[in-house]
Amino acid sequence: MKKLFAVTLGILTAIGGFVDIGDIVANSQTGARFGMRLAWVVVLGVGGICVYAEMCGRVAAVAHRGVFDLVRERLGPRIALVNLLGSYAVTMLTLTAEIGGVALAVELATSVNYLLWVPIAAFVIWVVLWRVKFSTLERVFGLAGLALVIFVIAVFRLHPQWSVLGHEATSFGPSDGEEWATYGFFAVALFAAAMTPYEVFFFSSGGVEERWTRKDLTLSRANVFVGFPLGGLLSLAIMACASLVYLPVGAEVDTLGQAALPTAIAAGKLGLALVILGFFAATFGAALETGLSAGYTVAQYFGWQWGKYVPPRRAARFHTVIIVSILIGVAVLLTTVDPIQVTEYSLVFSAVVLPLTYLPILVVANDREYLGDQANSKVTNVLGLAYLVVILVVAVAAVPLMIVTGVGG
Amino acid sequence: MRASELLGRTVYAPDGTAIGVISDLLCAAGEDGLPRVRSAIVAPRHHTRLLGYDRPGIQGPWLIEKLAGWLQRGVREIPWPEVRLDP
Amino acid sequence: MTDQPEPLRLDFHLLDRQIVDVDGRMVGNVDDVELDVDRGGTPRVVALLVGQAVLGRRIGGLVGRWLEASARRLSPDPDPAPIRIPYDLVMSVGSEIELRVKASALGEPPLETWLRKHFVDRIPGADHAGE
Repeated sequence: MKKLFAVTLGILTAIGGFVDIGDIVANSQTGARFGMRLAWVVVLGVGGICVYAEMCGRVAAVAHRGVFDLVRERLGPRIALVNLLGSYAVTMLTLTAEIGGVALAVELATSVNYLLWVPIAAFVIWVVLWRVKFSTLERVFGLAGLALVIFVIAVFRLHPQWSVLGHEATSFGPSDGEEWATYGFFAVALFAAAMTPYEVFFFSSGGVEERWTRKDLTLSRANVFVGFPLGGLLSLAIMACASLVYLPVGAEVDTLGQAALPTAIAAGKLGLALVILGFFAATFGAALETGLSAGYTVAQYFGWQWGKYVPPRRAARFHTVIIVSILIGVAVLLTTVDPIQVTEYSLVFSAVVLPLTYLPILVVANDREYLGDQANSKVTNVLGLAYLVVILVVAVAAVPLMIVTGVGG
Repeated sequence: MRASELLGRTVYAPDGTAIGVISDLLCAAGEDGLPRVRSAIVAPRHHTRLLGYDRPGIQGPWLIEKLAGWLQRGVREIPWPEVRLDP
Repeated sequence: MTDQPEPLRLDFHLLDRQIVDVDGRMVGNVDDVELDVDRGGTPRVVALLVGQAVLGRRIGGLVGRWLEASARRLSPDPDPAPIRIPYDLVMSVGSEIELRVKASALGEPPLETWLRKHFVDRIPGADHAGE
């Protein structure tokens, strides 16, 4: 009974924690411009993160190691350093976007300019990272993120023509008035939002933080195979709401407020309150995760002691990296650059860095020295390889598409 | 001396031609417990990290194994006394 | 006697592996391995080396030299010595390299000490693991 409770809690946390500012922005913008035509990319991306997160969880539970540890070991220090620079830069960008997202969510609630909230949000994020226990921090923000279920409710309340949505979802290609290049760009952004590198760094290091053992394999798999797809459903709901409200009028989504509007239309003040809570929880939780991931990547490359499971004074370099990263994020946001734009760039560069992150995971998950009888099955390998090919295509296409379309312009 | 000074060094045949670079060193435990180098793994091309596919225990995804195998073609093990580091 | 694979592969089994102490605390990665050469000309493994400068020297090139230089700048010592772990302190070589001793017996990386004294310890709550 206790195990069932733990598994359920894990799944709920995974659902609520799945969505971050990248998913909110990518799904809203795509819904507004392409309706449900790119829904298949979300499904594809969720499949990919499921396959690879399961591997990471398995490595954490059986070999008790984090992902970046293994990158340096398998690819050597030179390539791993390139990987570190790319991954850290992208994670930093994502962290910046998430802090911006938190500030924007609070602005929605208070009507006070988001710039004022940036330093306050960053400070609170840091305090939580410093003091709060890892599992508590995961649970609280994961569960609070469930407020985003309002988007699912909103879809129904907006009385969609289901056949139209279904037709869009099953057609391939841009809507009228949109180019293939833009279609491709948004596909890349959506895929990157689902498979952002920090997610695997965090999932595997988190498994080590929570001291997973073989007994936790079921828990890990339940989180991944039930939690993540349901989280992906939330993403699709965000896309659907944006498509129902904005596509018919040809408007685009450029602000967090516009992303939230459909729920306010569908469910009034209560809807708005829930969506703001959901956005806040999603971005705050993701800020915690990316902050920690920034520390994990650097510390694991160099072999430093890392983790919240030791007192900060035993992991001074790890915590310093986190603090410095948050400060850089704040500095960037205070230049008044649009956080939504920062999010878009973070997605493009995430796409570019994907192959170097995911290839080593596939290699290590096959290693019987680390995993014994828990090494990859043939099925997992086929899926892993197939996704690696997709990842390579996405990585190569990302920057050219960004340039050609002017960041989806 | 550091291991990094040996790894990546060019190995020569008795006639002075380069046959490859040292990509790994195989050691056996000595009586004092310290590992002694007994042979060198020499790769014909530059020092690529072998991803470990040259030893048993990893059966990767088929495609990566084949790719690693292709990258590692011509890799051989040379007993240390026969290793020449100068032409 | 060290519990290690036979044959032991220097690059594959030792280099870039995580070193943990007897309590499971992380010591560092194996950034390089110290060898000496016996009378017969056979090299043997004497110690594991941990340190940013060591890693920088091994990586080489522009990036390696930058790593070495920044390691020197980040350390209070003008000539920081790496952490040197004699091989007989190694208990087992596996997915991690486990030592027989505690990390405190080895000497702390200067950067960690400096950051802890001058920065982290000054923030309240630095000794709680958030429990």
